[in-house]
Amino acid sequence: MLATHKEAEERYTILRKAVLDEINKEFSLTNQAGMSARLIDQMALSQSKLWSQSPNRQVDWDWREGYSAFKFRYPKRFEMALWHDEMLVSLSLGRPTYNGSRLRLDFIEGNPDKPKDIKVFEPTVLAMVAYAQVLGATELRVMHPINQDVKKYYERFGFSYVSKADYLYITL
Amino acid sequence: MSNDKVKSLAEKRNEKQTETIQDAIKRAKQLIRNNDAENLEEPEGLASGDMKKFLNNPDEYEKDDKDE
Repeated sequence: MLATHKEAEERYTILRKAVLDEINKEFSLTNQAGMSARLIDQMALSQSKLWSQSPNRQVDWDWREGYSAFKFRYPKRFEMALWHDEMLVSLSLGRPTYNGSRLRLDFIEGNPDKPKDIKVFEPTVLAMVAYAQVLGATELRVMHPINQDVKKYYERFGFSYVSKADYLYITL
Repeated sequence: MSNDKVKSLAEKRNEKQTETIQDAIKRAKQLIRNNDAENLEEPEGLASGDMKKFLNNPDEYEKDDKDE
C-alpha cells in the first residue's frame, strides 16, 4: 500500500468513525435500543457468511471478498455495519464520485432474517447524508436496486430513478 | 506555535465537524419526515448493487459509471 493511500485510509477512517459516532448518538436519542453502527470488521464479515444459509436471501454476495477489494481501491469509501445487539442487520459500502460531488451507495444488504421492525435503510440514509456533508457532496446515489419492490421503497424516500444507468438519486 | 495552541485548534475543528455532521443528520431526518417515509415497512431481503460485476472486473465496473 502506498504511503498516500495509507494516509488517506487513516484520514477517512477518522471521518467515517465520526459519522458513525453521531449515528449511534441518534440511536440513543430515539430509543432504538440495541442498535449500533460500526465500521465493517472481521466479526461483521464472519456473521455475513451466515446469510448464505437463509432461504430469504435475494443475493449471493461474498462480503468478505467484496469488502476487501472495495477497501483496497477506495480509501474515501462510505462503509457501515449495522448491528442489533449481537445480530448483524446490514452491511453497506459506497464511495464518492471522482469529482466528489456525489456519494454513491454501491452495495447494501439487509440481513435476510432480521426482525421486520428493524429498519436498515433509514439509518443508512442518515449516515450517508452525514458523510456526504463531510465530503462536500451534494447528491446521493443508490446503485442498482435488485427489484421493483426495493426501487419503489427508495422512491418513497424521495429518490428518483434513472433507468438508463439503473440508479436512484436525491439532491441534498 | 505552542502545542497547546495546536491542540486547541484541532479540538475546535473537531467540534465544528461534529456540529456539521449533527446538522446533516437533522436535515436527513427532516427529508425523511417530509416524504412520510418514517414508518414504511422495508421490503424483505433489501439489497442494492452489483457486487459480482464489481468483483469480476473492478476496472470495468468503474468505467461503466455513468454518474459524472
